Amino acid sequence: MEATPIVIWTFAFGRATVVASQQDDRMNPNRAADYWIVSGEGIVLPGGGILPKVWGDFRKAYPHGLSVSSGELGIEAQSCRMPGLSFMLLLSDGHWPATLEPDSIPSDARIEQVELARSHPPSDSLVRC
Amino acid sequence: MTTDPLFRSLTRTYRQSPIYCCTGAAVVAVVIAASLACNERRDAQRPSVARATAESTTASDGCKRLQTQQPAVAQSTTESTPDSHYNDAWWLTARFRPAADTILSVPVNLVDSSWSKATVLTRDLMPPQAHDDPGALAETGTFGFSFDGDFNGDGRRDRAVVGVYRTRACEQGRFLLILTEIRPDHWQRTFLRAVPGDPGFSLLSRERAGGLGWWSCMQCDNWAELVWANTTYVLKFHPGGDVEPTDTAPATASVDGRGRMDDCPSPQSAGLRISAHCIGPIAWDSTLGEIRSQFPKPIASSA
Repeated sequence: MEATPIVIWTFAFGRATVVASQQDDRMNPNRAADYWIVSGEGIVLPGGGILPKVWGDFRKAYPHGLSVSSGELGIEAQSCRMPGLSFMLLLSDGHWPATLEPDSIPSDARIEQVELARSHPPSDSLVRC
Repeated sequence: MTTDPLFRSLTRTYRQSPIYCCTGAAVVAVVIAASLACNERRDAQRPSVARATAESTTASDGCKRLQTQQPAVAQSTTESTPDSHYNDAWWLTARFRPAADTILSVPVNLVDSSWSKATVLTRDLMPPQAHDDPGALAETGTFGFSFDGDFNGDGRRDRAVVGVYRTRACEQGRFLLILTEIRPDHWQRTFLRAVPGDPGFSLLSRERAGGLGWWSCMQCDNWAELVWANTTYVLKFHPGGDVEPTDTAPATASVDGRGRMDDCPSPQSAGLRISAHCIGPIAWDSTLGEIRSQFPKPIASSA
């Protein structure tokens, strides 16, 4: 875990929040944020789809090119159709998957937030992959 | 790598329609029919642009470019090799050289401060293959590279053009530009959408209710629709493919490198859209100072 506190700015828009971070202990207003985290309701993904609330619905909407990995902050999923976006998953207690295959993730796992890195911007629409 | 949203067709497959000469609404019907064919993936027909090599040379403008690119203004560089298994349509392979200093007398650096050159596409700049198939670019009034109209209903003449640009940093791409005539023969930029990437083909279409369509190919199923939404132009992407868009929220983006927040949807828009340059109303490549000037009350905390 990070030993140094990282300052974040949180902007609220309706029932959604947008968090900006420069991965530093202070904010430099002359620089762009390096990382963004979007959470809440009504998040519209590249291609126009609304971010599903749970993994099962996400898989139905975007069945191809999914991958799941385990990171510092938990389990995250990516879709090759939406490069640049990471979907952080929140699993119910006691439901840690046996593997990190997309099939192994419980359908009711909640998609808590979407992460973006400035170094890897998303697309406006879905990508064929 | 930034994915080219509008011009995915460059790396997509297509099926060439045997008949592509029609007028008026029938043109749209053919485009739709052809786009259905586009959905069938044919890996053997990947456009040659995806195979461009890294061979480059430094031109007189100081920019490195592929050796296959011609030095002349707005030349097509359609390539066809004897051993190629590819059958590329000209609109996928044509490349144009940004060469002009002005667009409608507006210096290109006033269109975008990072630009050094630009060229508005015209029929005359199209490669010979386009002229061999005149139906494809027939003067029907439905498709073209430049359209005049009052696209935002303010009583002033607007002109929509498409073309290619190059920045001082030698980045290239395509653009859709709306200029407004603020007084006779004096034009001002009203809207700009630039897509970094190959300086290739794109085309406008007139859409219902006075909107405009922006296409990157003649037979593709993804395109963008430019509409006036009360206070600003918004681009609505029609991505095609196997997932239908469900949103009605504007899909706008700032691409002029200045992080223009006003190119993003307003905070009152339904939903918080993530796009190449916006997270909801935030142009996320803007500096935090710029963002804070627009949205002055972030909650600062530590994570």
